[in-house]
This record gives sequence, C-alpha cells and structure tokens, in this order.
Amino acid sequence: MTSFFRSPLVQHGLGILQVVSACFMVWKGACLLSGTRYPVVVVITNSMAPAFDPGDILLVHRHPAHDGRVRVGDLPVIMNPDRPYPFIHRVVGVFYDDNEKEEMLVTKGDNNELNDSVGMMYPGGQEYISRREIMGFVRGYVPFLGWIVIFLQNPMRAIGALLSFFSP
Amino acid sequence: MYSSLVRLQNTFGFFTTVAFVVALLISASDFLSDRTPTVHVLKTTQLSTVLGRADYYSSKKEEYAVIKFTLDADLSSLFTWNTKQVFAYVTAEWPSAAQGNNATNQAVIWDTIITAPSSDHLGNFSPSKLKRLRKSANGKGIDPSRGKLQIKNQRLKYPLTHPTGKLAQTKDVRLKLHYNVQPWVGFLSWNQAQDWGKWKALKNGLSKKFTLPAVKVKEQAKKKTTTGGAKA
Repeated sequence: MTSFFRSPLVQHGLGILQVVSACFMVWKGACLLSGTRYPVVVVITNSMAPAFDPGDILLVHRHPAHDGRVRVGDLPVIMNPDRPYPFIHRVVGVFYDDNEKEEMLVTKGDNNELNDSVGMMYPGGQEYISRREIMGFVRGYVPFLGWIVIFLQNPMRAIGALLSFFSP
Repeated sequence: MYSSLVRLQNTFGFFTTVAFVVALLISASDFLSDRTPTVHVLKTTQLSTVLGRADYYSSKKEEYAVIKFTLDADLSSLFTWNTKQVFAYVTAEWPSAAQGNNATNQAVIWDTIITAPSSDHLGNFSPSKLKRLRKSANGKGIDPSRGKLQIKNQRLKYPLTHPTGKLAQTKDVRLKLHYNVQPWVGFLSWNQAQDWGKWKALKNGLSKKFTLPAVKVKEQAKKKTTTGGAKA
C-alpha cells in the first residue's frame, strides 16, 4: 500500500495538486482581503486610455479611496448581466432625487466621447446605475503583466501587440 | 526531486517574489515626495439656465446650466518619476435635501488628462502636439511645467443637467477642482481632505457658492451650431 503512495505518478499528482490548491487559496484570500469577487482585473479595451491600456492589471477593493458614498472621479467595476465581462469607467455624475431611494450614477470612459448612459452600457438600457451594479473600485495599478492573461484568451492579439511593439 | 519542472517552478516563484517587492518599493516611493497642489483662482464668469435640449444626444427637453469659469491652479508637485498621468477635473456640486446628511450632487463639467513625459506616447496626441510635449520636457523625467492649469472663460465640456430635469434657482452650487494621480506602479490617489504627511490637501479647491439663475427661454434650442456656441 505504501509503495502506491511512493509511486512517481502519485508524487507528481500530489505536487500538481499542491500548486493548484495554493493558487486557489491565494485567489480566495485576495477575494476576502479586497471584499469583492474580482480583486484583480485585466484591462482588455482602450476605453480608459491613456490611464489604463490593454494588458494592464487593476487591483480592486470594495471601498473607494475615501469614506462613504460613491463620488465623482471614482473608478467602479460595473457588472452588466447582459455582458460577459464587467467594465471599468470613471464616475462623472452623482445625483440624488427625492423620489429615488438610491443615488443615480453616470460613468464615462476617459477615451470615450459619450458617457455610458447615452452609450447604452447599463443593464436593461437604464439611464443611471447605483451602488448595486458596482462590484468594487480600482485602487491599484500594475502595467503590462496582464498580457499573459490576454495571451491565454486570445493568443493572436497578444502576438500582434508584441510584433507591433518591436516594429519601427 | 530536482526535475526541470521543479526548477522552473522555483525560478518563476523567485521572479514573482522579486517583482512584487520591487513593485512595493516603487509604490512606497510615492509617499516620500512632497505634494503641494494649489488653486489660485476658481470662479464662474458666466451663469445661465436654459430650458431645451442640453446637447445633440438629449432625447428630452430639460433645464440645463450654461457656465463659464476661470481656473488657475498648480498641480506640478503631483508629478514624480512614478507618475503616469494626472486626471484633473472640475465639478459643479450642490447639496441634496433628499437623502439626509452628506448627500451631494456632483457633475463633472470639465476635465483634462495631463500625461507625464514617460507616458506622452500613450496619450492620443497629434504628431505636432507630441513633438511639442517632448520638446518642452527636453528629455527630463519630470517636467515642472506640467500640471500648471491656466484657463480663462472656459465653457462646459459636458452638459450640466439633473435627472429631475430641474436646475433653475438651485442654491449653494460650487465649483470644485479634483485630481486623480495615476502611478506607473502602485496605488491610485485622489485629492484628499486632510494633510497626510508630505502630501498636503488641495488649497482653495472650492469656488464661492452661487445660485443658478431662473430659466431663460431659448427659441433655437434644438441643435448646437457648428461653431459650438448656442445663441442667446
């Protein structure tokens, strides 16, 4: 019986399992620390250029950089159930109204001409979003490391970017 | 025990540890530099409220504000070797009676992206502007002239409206300058309310309070002219 556990197959299998479970626990630990389902996000589009370019990594936390309510200038991670991925833009309007319980927020990508309300980016075509659609706020930034993830999802795009980096 | 896979794993682990420590040190270096952002002038030069379509994309008639303002501010101390860009924005803010304390309506009326010399190539600049920026920086890592904002009689970049469609005679409106510093590596920071060590709070970032006037009825409110100004 002990010779089974000492066999190379089991040893290698356990080694792989060790690496996988360590990665999994690091990820879950990050989710707990940041208080959000998406503690690390990779930028795919250039709607927030030049601040965030494709391939950059954003560190997300449940709270914005100040106490309390959402403010203009914050960078929320917005979940729209109609879309496969959340998107990150900047809050450009915060409005309150007697008839509405929640705040009404408008966001816009720095590199977009239209805000997301006009651009129909919100769930169900609604004009405003509230804290409910926000999964977290961008608090930290690491450039370039996200290209690994883009490579895994879309290798041709990553190779194309690499080639254009080296071309004159 | 010493298979290639284990060696690869150890190398990768070492690489990530070193990269993480270097990133941490770079972002910590931000706290060692002084920040003394100052506003010299922030005031409105024109105020009116109009009933009509706020811009080309508006689907309904509503009250919108026409504001022109003057701004003179110095944000150059925000730039360090680790700064990628500074996003400066002016908001119109007024309190809301609705939601109890601390509820403030905020709308961005103007913004600008100030790139550091290290990120000029990432901004969407025309070739001539890029050349001018590179020349002004002169190969320097930090350019002391970046971050000096001097704008006079600036019109709104974005229409100022409210979801209720009502804006006329809103009291206690103020203009406020904000900034968001985007580093190359590390934590993003916004203008803070208090001094934190070497980082001082923005001085004089709030304009005087003003009241939006009553509605001025416009005959030609449908479309903005190509010159960009609506005729009064």
